[in-house]
Amino acid sequence: MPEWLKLMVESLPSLLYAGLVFTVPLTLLSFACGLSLGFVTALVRLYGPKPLADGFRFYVWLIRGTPLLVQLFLIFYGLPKAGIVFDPLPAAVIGFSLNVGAYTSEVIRAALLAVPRGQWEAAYSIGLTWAQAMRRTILPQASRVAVPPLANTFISLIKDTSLAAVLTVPEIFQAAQRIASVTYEPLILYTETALIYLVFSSVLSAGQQKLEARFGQHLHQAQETK
Amino acid sequence: MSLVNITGLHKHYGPNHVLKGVDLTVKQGDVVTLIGRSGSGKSTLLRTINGLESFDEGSITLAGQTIGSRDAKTLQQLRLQVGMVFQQFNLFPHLTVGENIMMSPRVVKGESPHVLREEAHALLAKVGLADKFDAWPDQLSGGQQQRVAIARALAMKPQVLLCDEITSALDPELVNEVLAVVRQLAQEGMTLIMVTHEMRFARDVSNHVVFMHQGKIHEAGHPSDLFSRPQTPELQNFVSAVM
Ligand SMILES: Nc1ncnc2c1ncn2[C@@H]1O[C@H](COP(=O)(O)OP(=O)(O)O)[C@@H](O)[C@H]1O
Ligand SMILES: [Mg+2]
Repeated sequence: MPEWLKLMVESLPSLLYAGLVFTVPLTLLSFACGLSLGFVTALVRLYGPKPLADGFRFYVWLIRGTPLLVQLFLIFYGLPKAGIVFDPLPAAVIGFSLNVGAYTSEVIRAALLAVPRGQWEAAYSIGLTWAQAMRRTILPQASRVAVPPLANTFISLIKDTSLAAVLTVPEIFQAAQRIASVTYEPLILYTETALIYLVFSSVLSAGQQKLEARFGQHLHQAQETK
Repeated sequence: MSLVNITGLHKHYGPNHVLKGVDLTVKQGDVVTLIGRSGSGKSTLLRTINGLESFDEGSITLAGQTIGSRDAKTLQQLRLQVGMVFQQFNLFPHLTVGENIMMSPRVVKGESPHVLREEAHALLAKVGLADKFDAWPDQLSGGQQQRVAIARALAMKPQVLLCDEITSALDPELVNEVLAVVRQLAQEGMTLIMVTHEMRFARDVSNHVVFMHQGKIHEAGHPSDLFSRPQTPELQNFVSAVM
């Protein structure tokens, strides 16, 4: 076995461990929180009272207008100066969730607006309440529009979690840095790290296609039989 | 007793005074047709009857209950008694025909799946689409979609059905299949309030025709009088333009 391959195989368990124990949970948790935040933000901005909607608009503006790395530094290194101290992992989850929330809220807002007004009226006219109309008719249709861009956000997130290394979270990238610094083989280790991220995002892309097929069911079936 | 009772109805869109004091009484089993130029307020009037539009003055009662309350729960209760069919069908594209029809009884009334399916099949048979239960809306022609929309509105067993130009978006050869369904409903005693440009149809099936002009009921009466002996110059112009 050539030296480089040997090093890759030997370091794989540490990297995978860091990935499965930190990167994946960090991604899933941040996405779940971020998506919920994004949904609430979209709803408030579309249907909420003006002052509250303005507050959420400010939040989106703030997050989208500043670098993620700066946000993470502010939360982890800045806030303790104001007496607010987070452990590395919670700090990362908060930072990523806020970020995902801002971006997905725009996606969800656009997707909700893309559902024609007639769908609301039809739902109301058969006696559905706002919540029933939203859940049974508007959201399913908006989801189909929203899934591709949301999946993009998710895939970006799994890569962005490498930034958590600067908050001392021992995820894949940090593990790679650690091994590279003792083996003096950055080329091999960072190549391996890149490959691991590639595998993760490819798996997600496959999941995205499944999801799109599910939400677009009526379209596919219509095409088949026409 | 009157089923729908509208008195002194006023509605503004910003500075635009769209309904200027409308009075209309509809009895059980009446078939009322609203006619008039585009922009005369026909759709707005229909839409206030099931609370899709608010209004500024006057009152609407349905079977003795007052509409106009902005309370969502009350509005929803009232909407269950008023079916509406739209020009653009507005079927739910992500649901099959059967699911479209079962939506209201399933979600709002919580009926059992067995009863739901049976009723939905019966409604589909009624509109001549017995074999389309599992079809998707975009597999159907416009005329078929509109008939499904009628079945969906009937599924909640409304007391009155509102139809807003339901054949206007259809190719001419598909108009009659939809009108036939409406005609049958009228014969069965369904209370109907409709806006249509199909004047011959209006004349045949309605027992009351209302000519709207600039947000008011300008002239109204039995179709045989109204169409053959229009009293006002506005209606005379309208009738000679469309018939
Ligand atoms: N949602 C709306 N916002 C503002 N103006 C409207 C709206 N809907 C209708 N209008 C106006 O109200 C008037 C009556 O419209 P409508 O009831 O649709 O007439 P009709 O159905 O007889 O053609 C028109 O001048 C129209 O421009
Ligand atoms: Mg109209």
